[in-house]
Amino acid sequence: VLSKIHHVGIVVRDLEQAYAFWRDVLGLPVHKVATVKDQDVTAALLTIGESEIELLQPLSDQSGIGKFLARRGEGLHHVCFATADVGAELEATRAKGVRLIDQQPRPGLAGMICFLHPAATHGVLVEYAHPFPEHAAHDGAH
Amino acid sequence: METRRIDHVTVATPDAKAADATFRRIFEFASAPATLGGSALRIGDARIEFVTPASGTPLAAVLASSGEGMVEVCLEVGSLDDAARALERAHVQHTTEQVGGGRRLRIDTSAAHGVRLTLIGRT
Repeated sequence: VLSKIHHVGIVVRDLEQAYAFWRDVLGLPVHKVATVKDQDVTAALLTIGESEIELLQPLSDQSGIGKFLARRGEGLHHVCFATADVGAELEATRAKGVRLIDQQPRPGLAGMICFLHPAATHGVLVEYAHPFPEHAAHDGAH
Repeated sequence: METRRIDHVTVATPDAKAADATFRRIFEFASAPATLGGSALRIGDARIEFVTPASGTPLAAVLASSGEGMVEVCLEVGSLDDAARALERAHVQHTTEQVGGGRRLRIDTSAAHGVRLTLIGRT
């Protein structure tokens, strides 16, 4: 079961510049920043109610996020839905014949995650996430 | 500014009915009220809205240039008046729109790092 929007992912050129709007003007607190080496990206999660805004800064032009930035500029990248069991959710989605990017869940900034192929969802890149325990504790605090 | 939650994300598509049906089938979301003239599905305390932009509108241009997909995010704030004042203090360009009997603020896309962003809330 998908319970909520876990986060909306946004590609930005520079995290510090992005903070000036998303954190300082909108008032969204940054609760986690990390570099995800296999994606060559530094990401920040900003809390908004029960959800988050994920800012993604590419660390190279050759990464997936770097190519997105070069092709489309800054902007909306993906939406992530929270689930208590990302593996079961992935299997249920596969059983419906939906095209997937990830065939198995893998660790990501938001927890155990997987991506569906946007061709299956009208151009929307959809992620599922099952937050790690420390992240779930954060979620429970709101 | 007190920014409370994600109200909805908007998906622009040539066939909003088909996209709604796809998301309903894959994700098993329930129907929700739509504010933009298309349809909407509920997930948690937020919604996904599906719209087919009228020709000549900015969203139609986005759909034509980038293809279907997620095009807009709407956030709920505690007070639209407070939000407008905060945007003005920060020199963030924005406009006020009337939609469905309510008011919303549309923030300049470049200020929001390429995101079409609107704010709703109490006035």
